[in-house]
Formats: sequence, C-alpha cells, structure tokens
Amino acid sequence: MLQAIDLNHSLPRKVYKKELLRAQLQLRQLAYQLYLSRRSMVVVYEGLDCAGKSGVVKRVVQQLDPRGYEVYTIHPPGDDERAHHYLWRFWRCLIPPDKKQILIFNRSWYGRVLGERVQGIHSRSVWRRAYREINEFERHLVDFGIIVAKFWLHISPEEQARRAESRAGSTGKVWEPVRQTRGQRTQWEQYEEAVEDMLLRTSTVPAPWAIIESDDKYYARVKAVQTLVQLLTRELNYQPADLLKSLQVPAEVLSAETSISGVPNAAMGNHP
Amino acid sequence: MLENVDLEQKLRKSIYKAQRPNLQRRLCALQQTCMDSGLPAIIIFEGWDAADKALVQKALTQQLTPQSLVIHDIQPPRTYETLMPWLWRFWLKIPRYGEMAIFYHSWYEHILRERVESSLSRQDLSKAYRDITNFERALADDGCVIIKLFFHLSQEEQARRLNEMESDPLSNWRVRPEHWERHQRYGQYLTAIREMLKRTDASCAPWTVIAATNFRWACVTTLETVIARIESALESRGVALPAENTDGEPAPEDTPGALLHAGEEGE
Repeated sequence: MLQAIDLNHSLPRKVYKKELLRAQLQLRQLAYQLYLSRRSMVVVYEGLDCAGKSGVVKRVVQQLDPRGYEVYTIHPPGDDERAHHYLWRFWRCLIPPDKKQILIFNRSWYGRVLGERVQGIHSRSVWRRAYREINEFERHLVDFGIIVAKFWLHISPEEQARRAESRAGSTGKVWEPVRQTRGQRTQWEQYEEAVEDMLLRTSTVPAPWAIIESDDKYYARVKAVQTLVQLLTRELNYQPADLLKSLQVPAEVLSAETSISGVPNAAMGNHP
Repeated sequence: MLENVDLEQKLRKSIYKAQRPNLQRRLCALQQTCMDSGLPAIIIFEGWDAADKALVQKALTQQLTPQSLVIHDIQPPRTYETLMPWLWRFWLKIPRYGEMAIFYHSWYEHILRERVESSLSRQDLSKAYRDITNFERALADDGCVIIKLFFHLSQEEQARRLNEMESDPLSNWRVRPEHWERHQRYGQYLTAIREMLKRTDASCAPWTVIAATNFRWACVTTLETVIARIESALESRGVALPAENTDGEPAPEDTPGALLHAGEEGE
C-alpha cells in the first residue's frame, strides 16, 4: 500500500509561496467560521522522523488567530502518564470549544501502534487492541460534532536518510533528535508494516486518514493546508473567498517567509 | 436481574458487629497489595435515593488509607462539561495504577437521570450504551477492576425512609424536593434501571445488585463483593494475597474513631 504512493510530486518555490498563502488565508476564514459555530477540530499529524511534521504544523497555524488553536507535541509518556491508561493523556488535551477550536497534535495516540509497537514496549495483544480503542475514541469525538482530521506524512527511506544527514550537520536544527532517526532507518521494514496496519485498521468513515506525499516539502505543505481547507469547507458548508485574488497582495509579501501584516484583519476573519 | 434479589434479607446485629471489622481490615490489607502491585480499581455506587449508599461507602472507606483513594461525587455536568463529549469528564477521573476510585453516582447517571428527566432520544441512548461498554472494556483490558454496585429498594421502603428522615428534625435537611419527584417516577426509573443492568452487564464489568432494605446486610454484602473482586483480580495477575491472619492488630472497636461512629449506622 505504501509502495503505491507516488512520491514524485514537487512544486517550484514561486508557486509554493503563492498557493500556500492562498490556502492559509482560506483556512483562517474557515477557522473563524469554526469559532462562530462553537465546534472544534482535532488535527493529527503522524509521520516518521524527518517527514516534515513540524514544518507542516508551522505553516498550518501561520495565519491563524493564536487564540483559537493549541499545538501539542507528543513526547514519550512521563511518570504521571505512564500511571494511567494511554488514552488518558489525550483526553486531558481536549479543550472546550469556547476556548480553543483547533487542537493540533504533532504525533498522537498513534504512537501506541507505531513507535511503541516497533520498539516492542508492549506485548502483541496490547497494541492490537489499541486499534479498536482508538477507533472508539475517535468515533466518540465525531459523534459529539468534533471534526477529526488525520494526516500521514509519507517519505521514502532515501529522503529520510538524506534529511537526517543534513539535519545532523545543521546548526539551525541542533534540537532535532538525531539518534532516534538512525534507529528508525534500521527498522524500516517493521515501521512499514506498522504504518500499513495502522492506515488499514484506523481509516474509518468518521475519521479517515489523508496521505501527504512529503518527499518534496513545498508540495507537502501546500497539500496539507489545502486538504484541511477542503475538509472544513465540506464540514462547515462554507465557501471561503480567495483573498489572494481580491486583495492583490504585493509581490514582496509573497517573498517574505513570515506572517503578512498588510491584510486587514476584518477581511481575514479575526476573532472579535 | 432485579427480580432475583430478595429485598427482605437481614443480618443479625451480633453477626454484623463480628464481621464488619474483619472485612474492613481485610480490605485495608488488600488496598496495600493493590498499591504495591499497581492494580487500579473503580467502585461505582448507584442506587435509589435513601438507600444508604453514603453510609455504606463510609463503612467501606473507614479503614482505608486516603493516600491511594479518590472519591468522586458526580453531579450533573457543569456548563463547560456539556461543551465536551460526555465521557470526557469521566476519562479525566480514572484512577492511577494502584489507586482506588470510588464513584458516588457515575456515568450511569447519563442513562438514568438524563433519560428520565430530560428524555434522552432512543438513538442517543443506544450510543450511550455503546460508549459505556467501550469505555469500561478499555479500562478493564488495561487491568482495572470495575465493581458496579446497585443499591435496590422497593418503592414502599423508599417512601418509608423518606418520611422517617423528614420527620426527624436532625435529618430532614437530607430530603430535598427532587427526592420526592424521583420517588413519584419510581416506575420510569425502574424501567431505565432494568435496561441499564441488562445492557451494561459485561463479563469484565459485571453489576452486583445489593438488597438495601437492611443496612447491615447491604454493608456486609458490599464489603464482601469488593473484597472478592479485588482478590480474584490480584490472583489472576499472579500477585500473592495478603495473609488472612491479622493477629496483633487492634480491633477497630478499640480505636477512638470506631467508638465515635459506633452509634450511627441504621440501628
């Protein structure tokens, strides 16, 4: 199944800048609609090390109102979390929609059936029943009206190796864990099996997976934001305007990496 | 399930006085073993108003160490809790490994009180049954002992107790108008309870119906049920049970605390 993913997509930098901003501005309007309708959304990003999860999360929230979202970076469980059922810590992450509407998980409860499975932390019966528990958990959320979006960021082993090498030598990314990545690369086949099982068993009607081909970072980021826009457009039944067209954002804005300041807040759907 | 319960069961005072301290000591020893072996337990108290749930709960916890004991008194959901999936507030209250959590009322209020008072739709009801079954199975698979106690009373006995409490100036504060309202709806509640006991009685989380007409009977049965369930869970984990022999320990009757509480229960 993973073999069938076409990883040859790519985008030139100019197109990337423009399309990313277009989708981000649409996402911002949709986030405002989400706020108005008092609903919340849970977004899950999973992927092997170096797949670009953090980069995608950064672009997703770049134009959003910071009062409306929360980003959780999930690390191995601490003492308190190990002393409870593994889903407990994720139930604790949920926030009522009058406070936060978009909850973003950089890694998530799927760690149980990915990393923890491959590393052999639990017996087979433990991670096998996790599929059912995860499906029940997500269905419980969806039944209540929460939108659940799950993204699998897929990269090839060659690209992962290349990124890990460059990461190791880069001073800008010294915080990224290098040792773990090496472990994942030696266990590639086991990871592949775990990922396929996960995608097959937890792609449910209420909470399907979306696969993002991530060998090209530009393509992955644009596709990730666009997929979210499509999902929210459908769920909220609201067609966001194409602000990039109507506002005629100047070219220098598009070349800037950081948040734009020239767009009036009202048009962007700011929280009141 | 309710039909098989003999509500007239009684226990002689002398037997009760002899058994209760032993059972409490036993439970205390088991609690220590649970803490050491990391076995979590959930004890749910559900039942009719005026069925002396609180007194039984007091007897249950009297000798336990509060260190690994949490008691949750479940009220109707607060506003912010209604903005979340309904099991959310209960997931946050699950016990740590080795801890004992007592729920005085529980997630079953959702399918009892909310069903009768605010008419939960049939569809929501069957979803709630499914959610509860999944929730309890997830916890039980994780090693948690789930002990569900239902304190059963007949409608006449409930009326007798409410009247008795109301006529006593020291305890009439305990009777509130909603108790009488629920008493009027005894039949509706009975239907909901029958269905609840049938639909949520799982092998990993079975219901125990306690005949609560006689307090002494209810108290001893509860203690015995809890002890038996915890013992069997410890045994299935391969943990050695604490020795039955409790020589040398002071009997609870001799401790000042026991004397203070001696006259209170359902005489």
